[in-house]
Amino acid sequence: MNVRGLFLSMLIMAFFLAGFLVGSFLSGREHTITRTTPTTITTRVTETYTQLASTQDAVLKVAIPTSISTIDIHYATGVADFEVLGNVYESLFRITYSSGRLDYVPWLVKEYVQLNETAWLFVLRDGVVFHNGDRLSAYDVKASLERSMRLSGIGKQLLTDARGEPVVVDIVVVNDTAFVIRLREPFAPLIEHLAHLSTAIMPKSIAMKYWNGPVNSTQDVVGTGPFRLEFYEKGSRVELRRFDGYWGKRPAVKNLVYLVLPDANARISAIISGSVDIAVGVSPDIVETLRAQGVEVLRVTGVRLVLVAVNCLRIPDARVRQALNYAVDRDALVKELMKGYAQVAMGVASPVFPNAATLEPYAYNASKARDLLEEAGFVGKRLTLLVSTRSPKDVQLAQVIQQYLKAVGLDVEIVQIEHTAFLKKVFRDHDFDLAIYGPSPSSLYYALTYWRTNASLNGPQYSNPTVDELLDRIASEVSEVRRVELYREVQGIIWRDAPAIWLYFEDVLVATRPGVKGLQVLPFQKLVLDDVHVV
Amino acid sequence: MSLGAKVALSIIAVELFLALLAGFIAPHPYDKIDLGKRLEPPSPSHILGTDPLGRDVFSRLVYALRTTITISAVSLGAALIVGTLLGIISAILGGLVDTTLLGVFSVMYAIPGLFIAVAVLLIMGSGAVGTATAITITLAPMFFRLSRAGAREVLAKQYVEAAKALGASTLRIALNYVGRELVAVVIPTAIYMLSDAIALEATFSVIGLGIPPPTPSLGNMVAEYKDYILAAPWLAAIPVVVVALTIASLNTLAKELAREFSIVTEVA
Amino acid sequence: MWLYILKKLFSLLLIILASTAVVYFTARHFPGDSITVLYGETEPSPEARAALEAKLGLDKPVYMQLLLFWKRLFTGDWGTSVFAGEPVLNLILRRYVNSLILALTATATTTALCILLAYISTMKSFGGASSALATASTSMPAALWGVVLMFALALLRVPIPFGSLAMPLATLTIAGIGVFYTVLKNLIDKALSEPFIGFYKAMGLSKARLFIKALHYITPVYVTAVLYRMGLIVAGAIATETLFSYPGMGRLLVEAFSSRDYSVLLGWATVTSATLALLNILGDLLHAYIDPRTREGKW
Repeated sequence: MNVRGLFLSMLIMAFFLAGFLVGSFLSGREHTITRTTPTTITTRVTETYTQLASTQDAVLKVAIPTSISTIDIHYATGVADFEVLGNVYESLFRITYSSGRLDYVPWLVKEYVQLNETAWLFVLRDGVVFHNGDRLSAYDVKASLERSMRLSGIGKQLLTDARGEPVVVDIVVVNDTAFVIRLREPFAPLIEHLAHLSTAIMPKSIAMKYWNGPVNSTQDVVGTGPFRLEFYEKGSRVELRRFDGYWGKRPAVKNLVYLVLPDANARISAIISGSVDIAVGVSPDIVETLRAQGVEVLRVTGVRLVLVAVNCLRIPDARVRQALNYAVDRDALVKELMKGYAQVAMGVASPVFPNAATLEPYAYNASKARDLLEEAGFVGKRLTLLVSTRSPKDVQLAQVIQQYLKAVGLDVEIVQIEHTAFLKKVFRDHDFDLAIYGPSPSSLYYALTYWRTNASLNGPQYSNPTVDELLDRIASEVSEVRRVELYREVQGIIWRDAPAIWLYFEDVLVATRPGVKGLQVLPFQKLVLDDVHVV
Repeated sequence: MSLGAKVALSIIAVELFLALLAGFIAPHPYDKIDLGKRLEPPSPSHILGTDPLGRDVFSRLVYALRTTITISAVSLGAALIVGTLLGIISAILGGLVDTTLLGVFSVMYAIPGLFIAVAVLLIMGSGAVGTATAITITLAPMFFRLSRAGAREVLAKQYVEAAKALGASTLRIALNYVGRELVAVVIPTAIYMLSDAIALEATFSVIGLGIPPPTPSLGNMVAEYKDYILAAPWLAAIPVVVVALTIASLNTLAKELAREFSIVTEVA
Repeated sequence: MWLYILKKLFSLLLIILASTAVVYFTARHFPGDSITVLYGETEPSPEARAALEAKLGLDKPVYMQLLLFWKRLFTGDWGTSVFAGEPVLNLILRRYVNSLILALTATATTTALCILLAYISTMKSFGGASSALATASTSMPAALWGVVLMFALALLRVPIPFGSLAMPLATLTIAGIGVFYTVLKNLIDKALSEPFIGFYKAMGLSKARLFIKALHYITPVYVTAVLYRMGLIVAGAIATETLFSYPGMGRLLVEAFSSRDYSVLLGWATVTSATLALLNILGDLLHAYIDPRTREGKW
């Protein structure tokens, strides 16, 4: 019995070993784009060690908490997507941040002029080259923008008016480097919105190839940015390499690696041990400890407004919604829960936006809340509070909100939902009483479009015709002074109508090793790596 | 009983006691949030400190013991009983019954725990019952596999043949011979799976199935506090230590039990 | 004998079909689909949605898509993942190999350590230590061992090789000792009390040589026991892969599920169910060889 059994088990082990050898040979055929030398698993392991051990400052490693969900910039929706793909693609304009304010500057566009109320002429910069060697032309811009408006959820939202109709009538190519955008009516936020990465420029050939769906091959990830996509292991890591034909300032970093580390402890260990140079997604509770370990933590006021959306169809009485706002102690939340790394919301848009209005705060007043609820006859009700499982901090916040609302006589049940299911339930089905989330708009106008009637980002289904009308007038208003007034007015209305419990604007916290210099962080949790170098 | 076993038994007894009388023992309500007192180290008023929302850790711990012991006992117990019984039946009856059960459990085994949780969530909704069901379905196949293989080993032994020849009923054989031998296999496996059962709750909560907050359980305390290892090391350690002690104690007790059943099956 | 193998292969096929069906149906009925993931909070225009649904095959009824996949399964066309940017088959193959390597090496290192511990336990002075270590290993799930290891390295300022085999391997080894030590120890103890060991002892073989002879003897049994317990190893791998960003099957499952990448999920279910079923069949085969008394058939 023994010899046979031994033989058989050896056979099985040999089979596995053979599978292992064959497999590791096969796995060498990775889908890298530029690399031609096949690498087996063992070489990859050695490479990683060598990279880590060497003191090349040409490699920058960044730890991010979520993986990118798509390689198509026009389908990008998450922070990670824009962070990574934002190094590969560029838009006509670019968002910059200095002295606490956002600015929108020409980028792929060299100069532009408004021809009349509904037509803008743009002239492209010379010498811009795509990663595949093609020169940038106005035809590429036309194709990209049209694709964005057609396929991209955000792109569409950015370029539609208050009634949901596209603002762009057509894009006329004048010559290789110039084009005209013709609008249905004046649209003031045009420049700001052309700075959003959802309107990024790709070669016309690729835009046409993927006219009906997302790019699904890494070979077709071609942009004008300072880095090109070198290697993508879904959910695990993305490697970018400096593009030598880049038109702009040559980055000091040669290899940019994004490492996906969903576990907070992993990111912390990674930055402390020096396994990565930058770690994004740092919890306020760990900042002090990190600093004590010799890690630097950068902090920037953020655009993300954390709020508790209140379903306006189920809770139509504005008094109730205001009562909910009075029931919560924001100052305590910011000071204790966020350890000061947030700004109490005093308006519906982050103070980094020009023209963001500071309005009369909802001071914490539990008895006033109770009175309002009684007045509205909303007593002893049971409410469900939906929260996505993706962020543990949101789940903690939900429990705090539950306690505040309990104190004013409302029984709240917390329901945790998986992230994608949460998106569907809240934004498509609108099947909730209360829901915690935090939109991150790129401009003030965009922030306000969330509250348009039937806007796709309007989770609470808030509807106020005055607001819609005002947004329309803002877009078509020619006078800057008048526009500022209208901005203030519409923000005030939304604030008081309270389709959400306004909480706070989260600060963006980024941890870096002491040797990393020249890093800038945008309020949308985007890293600006133009001037980064490692000493 | 050895010293180790006595220590282990007392640890388990203390935990059961705390869990049973949680309501009387807990000095604070387990859901009383106090933002001003977050992440405090142990002190006279909070003997195990406070959690990230300022709640008393000791109070949460005793309630968590109650939650976890209940759910684990129910789900692990159900998986063990159902899996083992069906495994024995499958081995004894053979034929079509065996093939069918083998097929069903193989499919259950092949489907990842995540999808079982998803299916349960869709059918039963979230909450304690759904969580326990999902854990049971995830763990049962292993018990089935091991007990079926073990039972077949035993059934093939000569003394069982002899017993059958002497007229012992199938039931008697199943209980006396097979059952006794399987205890030595099944119990240690169950204990090994306990830490997985506790961890499974945390895994399932990613898709939305689990004990809803603010109710504490050992699983969600471990998962939540582990993010605070550097900021508040005692906090992260406490539920882990409790789980580790529990499992170590159960292991020791199981070994003690195994000494009583001296025959051990070979493979399974 | 060949009929037996044929029957087993047939049941293997059925298992694959059944588990892919269950996985697919549950995934499709879970709220939110690939389009929700692509668009996030925003909403596509009706034309864009229709175009995308047609492209992804989501416009057909659920059972239809499953049948289509089964048909394509055998031609090797498992579709292209819109999220990963490459054909599903390539993606899964690569991840599968990574996971296979992890599982095999982890089993090997765990076994090696368990052998060492078992040998130590035969020595009078350190006898209890091995057992204590094994008990310690079971007291924490693999993911937590990973965290402990990670912080140990971090606080010692040693760079952690995220994404490579080293960390998950070390973690699963530590966690695996608890599973396999008891099995190995019981087998060795039993083997050492067999008559043939007594014979060799009388011939004057050293303790170490006796131990090795016992190991030879129990190898087939041990391999079978390992095969039966592969499920336990695989379970610990998912969290470990996520923690250390190791591109294996476990991580792929979580990613594919949250992106609702149905083609990848189907491919994943196919490969995993086939593997687990195959392992069980191999285990049964080996078991039957070792102990012919346990062959199939009514008792």
